[in-house]
Amino acid sequence: MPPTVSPEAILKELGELWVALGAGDEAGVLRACAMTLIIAADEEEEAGVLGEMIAGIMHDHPSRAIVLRVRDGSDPDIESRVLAQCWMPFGRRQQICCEQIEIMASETGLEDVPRIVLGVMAPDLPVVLVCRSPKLFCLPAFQPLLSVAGKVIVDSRCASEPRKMLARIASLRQLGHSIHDLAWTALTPWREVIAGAFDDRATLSHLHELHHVSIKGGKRGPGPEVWYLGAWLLRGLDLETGIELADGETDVPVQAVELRGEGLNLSFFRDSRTVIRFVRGDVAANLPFTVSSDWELMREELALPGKDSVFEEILPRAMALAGG
Amino acid sequence: MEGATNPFQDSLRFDRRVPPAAIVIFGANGDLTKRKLIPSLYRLAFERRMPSGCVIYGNSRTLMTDDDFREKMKQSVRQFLEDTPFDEALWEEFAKSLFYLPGDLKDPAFYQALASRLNAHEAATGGNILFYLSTQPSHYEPVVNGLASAGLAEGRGWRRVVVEKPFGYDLATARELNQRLQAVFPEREIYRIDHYLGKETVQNILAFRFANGIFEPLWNRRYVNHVQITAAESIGVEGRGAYYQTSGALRDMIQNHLLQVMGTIAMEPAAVFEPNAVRDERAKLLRSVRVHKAEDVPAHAVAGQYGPGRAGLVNIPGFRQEPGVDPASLTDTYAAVTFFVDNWRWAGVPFYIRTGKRLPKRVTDIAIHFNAAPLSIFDRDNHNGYTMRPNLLIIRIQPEEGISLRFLSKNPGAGMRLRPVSMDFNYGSSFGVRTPTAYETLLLDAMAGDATLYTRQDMVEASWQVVQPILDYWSSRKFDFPNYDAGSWGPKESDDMLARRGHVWRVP
Repeated sequence: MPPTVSPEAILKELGELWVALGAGDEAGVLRACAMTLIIAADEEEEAGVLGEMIAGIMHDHPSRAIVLRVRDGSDPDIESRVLAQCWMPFGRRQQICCEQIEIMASETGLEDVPRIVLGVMAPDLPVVLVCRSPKLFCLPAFQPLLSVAGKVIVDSRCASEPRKMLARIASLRQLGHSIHDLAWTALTPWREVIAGAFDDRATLSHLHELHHVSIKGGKRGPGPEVWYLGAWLLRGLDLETGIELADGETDVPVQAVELRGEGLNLSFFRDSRTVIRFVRGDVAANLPFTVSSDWELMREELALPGKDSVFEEILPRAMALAGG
Repeated sequence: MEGATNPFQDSLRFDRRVPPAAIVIFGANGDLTKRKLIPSLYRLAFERRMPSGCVIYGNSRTLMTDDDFREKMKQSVRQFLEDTPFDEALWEEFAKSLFYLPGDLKDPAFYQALASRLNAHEAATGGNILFYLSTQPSHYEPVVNGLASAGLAEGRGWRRVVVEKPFGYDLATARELNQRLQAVFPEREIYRIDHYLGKETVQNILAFRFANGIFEPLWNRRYVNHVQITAAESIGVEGRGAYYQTSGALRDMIQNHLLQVMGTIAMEPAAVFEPNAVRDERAKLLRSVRVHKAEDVPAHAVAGQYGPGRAGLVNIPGFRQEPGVDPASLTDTYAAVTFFVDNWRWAGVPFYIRTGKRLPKRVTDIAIHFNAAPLSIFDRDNHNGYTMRPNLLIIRIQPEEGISLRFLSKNPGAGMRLRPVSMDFNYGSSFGVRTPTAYETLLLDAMAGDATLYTRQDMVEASWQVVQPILDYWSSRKFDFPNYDAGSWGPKESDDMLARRGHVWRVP
């Protein structure tokens, strides 16, 4: 059965939306679009949370957002609607608006979706696919969508089986897809703090003496963030072994990192949302730290169009730490 | 491990790293330190861009302890920090790196004491020291000499000196200042700060011109009719009347900021994006600016001074009525100059620059006026008046950074009626992230040894060279001031200067 919506119909509806927006505001509206952002999510994902994330991203990366909501079942119908996200910048008279296309399909209907998406993408601009659902990411019918995107962003932190998710990321990367994981992105503040400690020349001079890494994760046991961080530390210290991953007492995914060696011990503890307590021998300091929201992580990832060679390098090590 | 690199650094995701250093601020009790320097350094710490090991020393003659200084700076950061929450825990950490050493800048013992304090931090700072001269220019010489005599101008790490404008009072004093600074520090370690060059949009001019292929072919005398650079302030001298009357608009804005902006707009592309390559091109451009002969000055430069006016329901005093100002002062609070760049790209294209105080609004922008279409085919009788409007490219520097392109479009409906429309790029709405302030950018650049956005001796002297004949001519004239009302767009003579070439100041 053919899909019940066509790209032409959606684009016509979009055109009408812009006419209505322009007519409703004396100063007109500013149409902003720097990329096509496809966001795939399960139908169960709360619309409010998703909307908030999209709104957060739009301010930094104005896009034509194509939101794909996938429901369970075999209903072949596909529905769509168009809307605009608008905001009034402080001190200005003209609203800035980004367009949003929502496509609702079942898992069965998913196979018709790539054709529709291809027809409604903003021409000549980069395409980024964000897959919010680990389940969708693993569906065969989802694979064609990966090919239309120059960059695919997933989040292994949400996966019920994160080991499998990492393996899937690795195998798709081998097929040439540019897959990025927000679990890695979330580590930037941690990594920056640790790297900063080695900007000190005296500490750096002891680097080769460090031979043991200990990471305390969350209370549910080590997850993707711990595996990635461990892999990155081993890479930096040029170690193959000597790592201990332990469970923590709280939900914080990485609670502490310790690097031990002959002449030097370094410890980093998450003290609060904004501070990491750093101890080197008898010297201690509070270092600034930030916890990023989902849309802030997306913002960081969307700002990096090229390849991430560090991530590429540590992914196999992280899989090894995960036992995959 | 000397020279070893940090294997944990990730240039893709982490901000640029700078080496740890001691930052010594002379004039630490002044406004610049309170409003800009310490809030910028705190902001850099907040963004995790200050390397561990950095220390900041403040100096002035006022007696204060380290704790007094920390408390004072805490209040300043709270008051002047822009777009950033104040974090108590972070401040406590940041404050540990703040120190204060009172002393007379002419007293050799002060520099010895400073050297001894800085030596104590050498293990953490690697001996790197950035001296920031936020003092009156008359103190520059004693400070650099004091640093030299205490052995602080050279040592284990790098030693750099940041100098605030004015870089001299005229060409002769600028040369003298350069010689004195260079007697102690090599030119490559002298960072003359021009905060305009640190502004995101001014930097974006380079990206706009040299990263896009479509504009550069139009960027020359064949397509550009003229260029207008406006830097307007709505405020008056705000208690700085005594200083301002020794300076004036031409010295205070055009000689430095606006000629540097013009240099950035008109320079040739550098072969590589490296500090000296970019500065070479900017300097070359400034050397190509025509130096007006004394007899040409009246036709190419206009001085103005505001008189009393009214804004809303408030009476605004004239410049001569401001506190500390001579009631017969002949200082220019407005200056407009027509410059020409004598090179193949720009021959014959006027660059109009104007700046003034008590103008209707605070705005800085650059307007590139392109030639109009050679023939109006749509409205031969010019009934709607728009058909011959030239394209206009506006680069807005403040308050709302962005770029607009004005072009003509058909009005909807029957008939071929045209009207100008604007295609807008707004920095704030396209990149919602906070942009760093000019001082954050420039302080970090100085610590990284990147002088791209700092002015060099030859650039300073070249810009003095072009304004000197104007200053000389104006100093020999008795102006009939005031000649513009506070709240207006400046004296009529300024409009006349453009009208002689058939041009009109645009209203920003």
